[in-house]
Amino acid sequence: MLTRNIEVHRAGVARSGDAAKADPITTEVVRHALNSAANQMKRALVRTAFSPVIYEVLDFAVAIYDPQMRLLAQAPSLPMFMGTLNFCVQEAVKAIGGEANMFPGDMIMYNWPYGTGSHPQDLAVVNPVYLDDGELIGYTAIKGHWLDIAGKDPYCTDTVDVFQEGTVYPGVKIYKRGELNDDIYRMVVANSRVPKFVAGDLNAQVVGCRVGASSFVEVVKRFGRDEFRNAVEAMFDHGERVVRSYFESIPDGRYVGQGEMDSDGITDAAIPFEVVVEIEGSNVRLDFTAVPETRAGPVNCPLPSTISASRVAISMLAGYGEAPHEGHFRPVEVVTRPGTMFHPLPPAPCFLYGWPALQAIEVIYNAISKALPAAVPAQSGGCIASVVYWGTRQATGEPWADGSPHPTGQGAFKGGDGGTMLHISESATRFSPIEVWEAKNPWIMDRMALAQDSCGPGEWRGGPGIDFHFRMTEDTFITTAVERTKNAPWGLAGGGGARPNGVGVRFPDGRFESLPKTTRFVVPKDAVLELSTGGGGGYGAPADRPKAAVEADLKAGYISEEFARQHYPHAFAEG
Amino acid sequence: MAETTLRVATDVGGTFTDLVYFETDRATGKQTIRTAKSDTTPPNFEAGVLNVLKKGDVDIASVDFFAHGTTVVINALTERKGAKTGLITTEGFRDVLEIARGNRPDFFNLMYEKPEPFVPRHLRREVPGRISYRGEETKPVDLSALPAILDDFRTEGVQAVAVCLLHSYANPAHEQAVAAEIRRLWPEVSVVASHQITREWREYERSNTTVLSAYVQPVAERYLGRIEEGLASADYRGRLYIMQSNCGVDSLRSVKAIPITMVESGPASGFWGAAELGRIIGEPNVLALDIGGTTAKCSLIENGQVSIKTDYWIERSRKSAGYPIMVPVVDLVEIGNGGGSIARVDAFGKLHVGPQSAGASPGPASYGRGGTLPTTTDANLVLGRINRDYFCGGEVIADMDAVERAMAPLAAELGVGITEVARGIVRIANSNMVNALKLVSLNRGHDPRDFTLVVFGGGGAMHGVALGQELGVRKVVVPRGAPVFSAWGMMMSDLRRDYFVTRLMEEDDAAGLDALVAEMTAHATAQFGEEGVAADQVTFRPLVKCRYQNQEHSVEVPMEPGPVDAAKLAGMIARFHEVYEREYTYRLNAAVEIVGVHLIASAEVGKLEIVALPKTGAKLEDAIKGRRMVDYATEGVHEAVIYNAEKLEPGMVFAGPAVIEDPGTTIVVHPGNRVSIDDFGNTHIEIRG
Repeated sequence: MLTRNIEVHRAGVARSGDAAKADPITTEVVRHALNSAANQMKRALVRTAFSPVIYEVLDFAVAIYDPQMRLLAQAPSLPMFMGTLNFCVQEAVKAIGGEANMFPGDMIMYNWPYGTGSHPQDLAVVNPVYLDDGELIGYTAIKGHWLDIAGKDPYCTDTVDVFQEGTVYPGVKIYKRGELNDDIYRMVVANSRVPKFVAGDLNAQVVGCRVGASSFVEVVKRFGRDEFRNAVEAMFDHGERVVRSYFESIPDGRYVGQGEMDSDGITDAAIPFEVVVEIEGSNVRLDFTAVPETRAGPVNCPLPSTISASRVAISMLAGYGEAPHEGHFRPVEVVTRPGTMFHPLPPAPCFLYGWPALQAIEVIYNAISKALPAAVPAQSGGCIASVVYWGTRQATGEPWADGSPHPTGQGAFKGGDGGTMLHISESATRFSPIEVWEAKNPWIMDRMALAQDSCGPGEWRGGPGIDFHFRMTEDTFITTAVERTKNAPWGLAGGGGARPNGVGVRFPDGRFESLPKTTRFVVPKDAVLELSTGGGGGYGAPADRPKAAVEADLKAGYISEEFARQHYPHAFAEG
Repeated sequence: MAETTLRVATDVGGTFTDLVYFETDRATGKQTIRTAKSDTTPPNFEAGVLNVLKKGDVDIASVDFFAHGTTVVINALTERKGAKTGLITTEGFRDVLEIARGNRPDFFNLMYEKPEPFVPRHLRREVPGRISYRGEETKPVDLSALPAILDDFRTEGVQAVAVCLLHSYANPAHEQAVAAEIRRLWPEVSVVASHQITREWREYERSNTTVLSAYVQPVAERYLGRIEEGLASADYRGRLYIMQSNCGVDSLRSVKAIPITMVESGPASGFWGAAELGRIIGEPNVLALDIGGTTAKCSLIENGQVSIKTDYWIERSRKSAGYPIMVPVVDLVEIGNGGGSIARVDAFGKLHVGPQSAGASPGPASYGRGGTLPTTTDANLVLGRINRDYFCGGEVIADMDAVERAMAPLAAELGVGITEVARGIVRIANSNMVNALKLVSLNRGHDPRDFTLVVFGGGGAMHGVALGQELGVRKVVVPRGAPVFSAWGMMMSDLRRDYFVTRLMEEDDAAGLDALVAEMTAHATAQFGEEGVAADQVTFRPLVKCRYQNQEHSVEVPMEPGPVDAAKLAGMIARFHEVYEREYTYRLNAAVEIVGVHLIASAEVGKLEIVALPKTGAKLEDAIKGRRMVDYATEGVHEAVIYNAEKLEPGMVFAGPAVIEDPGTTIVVHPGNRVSIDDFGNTHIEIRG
């Protein structure tokens, strides 16, 4: 069935111990201890990082791997990075010449996009962990988003090859046997528009990896190597059973999910694509082979992120609310075709890799909804609605940069209305307080309000989108990366669509320029960046929404009377 | 002058009202302690308080110090029994309360439902006007819409109004104007503005704090009023002090103004008790653990100081973002693991303990009140750690048949015997609690091996040694009277207030810092003056919040009180690097910025001085009740000596394996532990060396 140019990807099935010998209580205690170690890493990173993109947006992943590079534990952060860090570890170790060239105290920096799955700004620090006798017990690793890594712009929507996107560190030791490698460090600092930020964030990644390593060593020592390994195998087997039992509950079949991206950043043509979800017993196969060829603009999604998006989607559906590990990924098979948008080859540009990846998640849910509508919500605003801002402060001459995703309406689901929050791929992220933002950045926010009539109607309605108005107090550069501005978020099971995303700049003379994807656009002082995030789709027929719920929405102002009369005429019927 | 000093603490909980009474003979120093318990009597809570005082035979008129703790605020919040509340905020921002921080803590949950705001959207209204982050007015406040807004509020039955405007932490003028206008237009309504509660930034957290404060205000005012009248009717003439969440007590008058500060007063008094105990026994570094029926709470005390933060949330869990309350609360971690936590096996053969609890009714299976689900307490009975013949101090006959019936399904699902299930439950419960203790120690840069573990609450002593061994602490201490330790802590509390102000300053701005500290000190001095406390009786401890420029999180650096000059500031900044390195393992050669000041002001108000217990010369053998086989889970089954806690006295020393039985708690001593009773009747268990 496999043809020559199709590749199939599965999770690691190597074994290091004997699950049958593990006692279930010890297994659970080991799982807790590993998650606690990962959480300690996260806390160290968040508390020491310099960039809000790390400490507020949580644009990073922290995880612990075994020597076979299987995921042992991961702390809650950006789910999209969840399944990519093992590729970073593999490639980083390979790049320095393998385990033989790796020593206690080494720390490897790695950001080649085709190995990390991300853009060059996402840089992984990989820390091999050894016991006192020199045995390698695994790795702690942190991939974090750096504010600027000397690409053509701090954030780009229009690159045409990967070399425009930033400096590449192809697996280099920033620490050798515990000593800072000063040559590399100076390269890092030299290759950024905001050197203080990246130096601070690199340091935070190193500190986090070290904190994790010492906790990890404690866990292995406490249980002993053999008991630890047996427990790990039992933990993986348990996770695998959880996911398999979920897919057994979904009818076997071949389900096609459809989605469309607005553009590739270079041309305005829409990019429709399909992902096929095949369920057979407890196995699930996600087939990306029918997607378009590699695009000219940076909306290509390198393979590790395609696999990660697939794993994120599956974990969210079937992961039983647990922190994910390798076992959860075992039932999932991902099929790709090299040379396509979801398996691009170097040097294709991939700066906006995250956008196709999160569209893929929504498309996978679209497919699942055809098997079992109640298993998924209607579509959300469908994008993280990202804006990156930078410039030079007038008073001090200091360079500054900041960036953030923005909350959108979430899709309704059987049994509940949608809320308004960040996209599920950013679910651990906390949106910045306005008071902190205004103190830090040269803008005043005039408005942050839920938008009336932006929510999809239905028996359960979608969450409203938000209108954000940022009035600039100094000239500011922006890059916007906002998808799903052309199509309404879809409703499910008879529910209606919602307002799509929109973004642009309103100039002091009243002129408005729509800018869904733009790079290094100058917003002059006193102009207003207007971002209107999309609503969530509705679930179930609007005619089935109880009259009292419609009235409550009217009273709250989520909807206008006109909207209510149009979508919920039954609420105005006599008697 | 009376020959004795009488100190009383009453604690009103959801079910019971507790009394602890201390009488100190001024001539001999001899101390008598009495405790009593009676039913809580809502809504006439004062009746329960008077009942318990009567039951304890307290001569109310001659009491010298009266402290009172209550769960009325937290109960009003969790049971949603507060006032109907409206919010007035800055134009363009009424949805701050609903948008919150946009996160989803249950981050794989596609169908996550956000916690619903305490004020619905139609009762969140806006006024024009802006203050900048520097505290400068950029657009004057416009009050013209207020009459119409208040009319709507009246129509809607609003009983309390919260006011929170952007950047009011930097300049409260607009908030003051709005609040004053509301009071003028509608004198009967309860009003609170955010700057009265906190002067820190972050609009969502501050708005929510103000809303919750307004929400509980009428309920709490009514409650405190009734307690005051009740005690007055019983001829109490002294001052009434109310326990706060910052480990201090405050005057009734001041608490009535901002009652939300009582929200975590119960746990706070226990942790303060642990800090005071540490002081008395010469152990300034304490990990404190309070295990109750449904939850376990822990906190870290360093160098005798509790850590007070304003990052407190209710109802926050892995499943929910919860609600922030930005008031000074002791830094604690709480998990859903207590004696009543229910054990279950999931569909995939994994054992879980908590967070569901059997509660007071039906309670654990062993209570024989119809509980059919196995709990941690039941597991401790099976393992012989709790004496089945002396259950709850002999007041309850342990229903071991019910325990077996409750455990049998778990045993079948796991394919093991009842004993193995019980061991598993205890190990999982311990693992949950160890992780909580790591959160307050390791995750904050502290090595638990440098700390003494102090355990209290009904279940603390049962698990304390196992937890201490895993964390590697030197010693575990079980205080005398561990089951009523919160009330004891209340008796040891000072009149204390914690002031937090956000103000961004450069690291060399001595004049700016001096002005801020002076302003806060003067404000605190005036407030203490209103309580009748002279300025020279107040102790000030300023902590400067600093961070490396651009970082988000700050650390608190202690500074001597008094004026700030360049040299003092430079010394503080030098100490910042040390404090920072201790917490984060490194320091940077980077600019430092000051984010604000946390000022602690405290004054002693009749605090109890504990004296040593007399020694009667009783023999240790006489305290031995017998021997029985006890299962120590991973350490195997051993024959343990059983001691009667009431017959132990200072100077006694013995070794584990042992079990010490007190009517209110059971101390499990593992093999190899050394036990000694100190001068005050506390039990010290040496784990190492």
